[in-house]
Amino acid sequence: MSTLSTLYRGETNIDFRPLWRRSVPVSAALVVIALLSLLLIRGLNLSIDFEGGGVWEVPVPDTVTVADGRAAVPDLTDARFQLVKDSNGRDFLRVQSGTADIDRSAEIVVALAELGEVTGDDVSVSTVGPTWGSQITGKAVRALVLFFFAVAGYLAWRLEWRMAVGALVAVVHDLAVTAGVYSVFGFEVSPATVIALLTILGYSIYDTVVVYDKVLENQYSALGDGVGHTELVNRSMNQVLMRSINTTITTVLPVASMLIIGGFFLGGASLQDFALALFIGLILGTYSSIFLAAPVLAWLKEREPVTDETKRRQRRAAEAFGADDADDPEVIAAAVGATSGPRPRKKKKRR
Amino acid sequence: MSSRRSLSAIAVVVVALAGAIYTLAVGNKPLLGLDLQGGVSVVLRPTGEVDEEALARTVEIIRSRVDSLGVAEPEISTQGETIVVDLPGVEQQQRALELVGQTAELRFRPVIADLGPALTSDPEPDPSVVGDGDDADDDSGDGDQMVDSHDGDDTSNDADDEGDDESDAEESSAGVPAGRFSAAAPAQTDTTDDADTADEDADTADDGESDGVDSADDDADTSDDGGAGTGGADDGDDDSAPISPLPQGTLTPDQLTIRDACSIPGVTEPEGDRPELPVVLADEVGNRVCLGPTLLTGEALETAGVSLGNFGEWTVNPVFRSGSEGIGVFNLAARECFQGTEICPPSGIAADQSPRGRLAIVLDHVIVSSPTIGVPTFNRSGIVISGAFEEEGARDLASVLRFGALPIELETQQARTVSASIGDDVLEAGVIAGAIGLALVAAYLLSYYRLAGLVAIGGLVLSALLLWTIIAWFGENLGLALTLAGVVGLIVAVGVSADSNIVYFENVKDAYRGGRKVSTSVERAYQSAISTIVKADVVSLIAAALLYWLTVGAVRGFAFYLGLATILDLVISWLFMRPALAFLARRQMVTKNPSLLGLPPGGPS
Repeated sequence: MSTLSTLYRGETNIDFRPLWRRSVPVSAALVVIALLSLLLIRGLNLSIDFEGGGVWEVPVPDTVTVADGRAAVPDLTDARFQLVKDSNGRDFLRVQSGTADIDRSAEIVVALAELGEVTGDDVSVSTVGPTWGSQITGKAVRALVLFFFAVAGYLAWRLEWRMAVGALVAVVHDLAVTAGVYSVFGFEVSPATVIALLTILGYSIYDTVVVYDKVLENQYSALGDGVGHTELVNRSMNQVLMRSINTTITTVLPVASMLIIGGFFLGGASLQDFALALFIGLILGTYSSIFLAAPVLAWLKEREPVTDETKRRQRRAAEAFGADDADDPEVIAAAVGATSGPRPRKKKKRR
Repeated sequence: MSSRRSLSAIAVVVVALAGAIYTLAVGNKPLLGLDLQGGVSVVLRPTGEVDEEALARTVEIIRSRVDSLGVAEPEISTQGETIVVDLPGVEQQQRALELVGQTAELRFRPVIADLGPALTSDPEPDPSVVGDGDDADDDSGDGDQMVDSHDGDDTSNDADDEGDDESDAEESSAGVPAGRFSAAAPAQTDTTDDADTADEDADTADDGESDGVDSADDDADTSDDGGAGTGGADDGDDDSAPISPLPQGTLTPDQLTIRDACSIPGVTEPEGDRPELPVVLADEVGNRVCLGPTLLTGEALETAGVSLGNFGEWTVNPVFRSGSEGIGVFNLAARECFQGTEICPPSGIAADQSPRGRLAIVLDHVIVSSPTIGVPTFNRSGIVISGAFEEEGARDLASVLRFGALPIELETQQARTVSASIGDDVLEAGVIAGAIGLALVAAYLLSYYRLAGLVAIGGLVLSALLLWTIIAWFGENLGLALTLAGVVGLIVAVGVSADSNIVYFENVKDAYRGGRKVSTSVERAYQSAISTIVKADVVSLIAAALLYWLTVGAVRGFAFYLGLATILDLVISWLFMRPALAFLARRQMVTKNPSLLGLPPGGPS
């Protein structure tokens, strides 16, 4: 049977453990690279919404060049001039400059309107005072921290505290790596990017919850009996693999369409702002739920002190395989070995 | 049991359709945010400490300024001390930016002349008001000049005064008035000629056509004077308006300025209202009055209160600060008005029946009161403004005076304008991206889950109908706009909604592989699926709620629509998904061939 068909039938039996042994170090390395780039090397290319400054955009005739723009509004501090096209092929001149020029906005609008042979109301203006951006950032960071606490609390309540930890590890990984990509490639970070990053949190946790919920379900079902935690997570992962792939595809499709369509429209630039971060984050979210959240949970669970409850479960499982010494981990491992491979269908009765 | 569930699914469908029909019937439309239809957004913060009352009044002032721009759905809100002004669809963007950011100042101006009742109480000059008397006759003769107001303006001035043309040309290109003062005097002798009337006509035409142009011209007429003033002087002669108290005979430039300023039709435009220049405004009873330059500002005031007199009459008691900056300047002004000097000629009747000058209290281009000065000097705390006050009117005036004592200076934190064309572009891009995204998701679901994909698509369509109804209702009734961030939230929600269906369908697959019949699998799989969906959706809701409460601006809009869509996902998953799939699972076609539901071929082993 081909791999696709197995996938389709939900009968995959991939051993994720060797993959996890590689994926966890890779994720760790990605986070380290991201942090290095963010904190030490490049930082983030923040839009004027965070740093303060002004952006003016005016439709201009084809003949106007960047040099004309410079001549029209001289003496700007740190000004950047750029010609962009919209969907109708109309040229726009985009001028960006620092906070020092905000007060001259009206004057700049007049000069640009003259250059573009339009009225002042056709000039798009965006100015941000120097302190405003830092407040916005502060608020977003506060929201983020509270979000982590709230979600951790909720997951610990509805699932397990280990799962809350695993989910947070995955989410922090996704956030850090996405931010790292922005930093390494120098993409501009706008408020839209921040919104997208926040959305990623939701998605990443959604994916992780789907995996963990399956683990939780299996833990108390026949499938969970007599297997080690890692194997339990591994099996659950196999069960939800197709689900994770499909949910990712259905969320990535609209985002990808935003990303591509945004490329054809001038105004679409703001759409692309959202879509790029979402796109990166979504892919990472799926990756991390399979290759990071799952192994972290398995690892945490392996360190779980053996409680009476687990002992009872293990003994029950061992008995089922006719072993006398139920507490012996070697025997349990052997039992696990016996159950892996093509799973006996009978065992899959659920609740 | 099963039939009750089918009922819930039908109920959802009926509600969604009813909502859509209601929305169509009432004509509700989603209110587009300024990034989707163009507009202006300004975030302001007071520079110093302010109390709530002052902040509330500031918002009120901004609101009334914005109303004068004719914005359909202005959204002015405070978040802490921050004032957020969103003006979607506003056409005069540059003017809106200027107006919103101005600091409100309480000014005391002497009444120079009472120009009699305005024909309408509308402070905005209306073509029908302005084009009164003989001007209206001339209108018919100059019909062609009304078509292009600017040409008319410039030509007429050419005939009149060379220099004027130049200044007007500057104004029309730059939109910023350039004042010239001294040159006006000789032109005064150049009186009645048709060109000048045409000049005014052109203005009148402007009023009707474009406020942007109009403001610049009016400005020139009113305050900046110079060449434009000649037109004004002539108008004075032509006008039948009662302007007798205006200075006559040989005039100094100052007097000329005042006379010209008082001769404009209608009232002064807000941008012409500068403290150092005379203005024409409607007073509290609706008369047009000509006011002299500002004599003192609210900074001279300390506070104000109200009191109830022996005969049940309410009075307002302003208290000035001590010293020459406070009561001192007020008394200087009061003396002028009491004596009825040139600065403040008698225009009111004092309690002793003698004619005295009036001192108008003007807040942000509106005369709140213009009491006659009855005594030559005042004690700083012994001042009484009496009149036919109701309690409310008295308290309002006192509040204005108190506020004047604490002028709020606002600092623009963020200003953004989006031109209508870019807004359209973004909307178009968003709609196309959303449609394509939806189509792709639908196609994928259908190809993977076959008929079950229809359930997912049905759920998406229902969500879409409900969302449209809700968003349109919010737009019409609460003025809540759908921004680009909101659109993204919705597109994202499409994905989340599809996720929920996938979780369910995959669980059905599991159950089916476990050896159950199709219809049993559909029932059995639901419990674990809905538990997963609820957990995942609650996380989304937590995120949406936190973002909504803790952030400002775009992030908030996003959070709102994400939260809304998530709640709808829960509703659809709960009420629609299972009965719809169960309905399909009972069809003979499906029981015979389960692969139609995307179940593994070959059936349960």
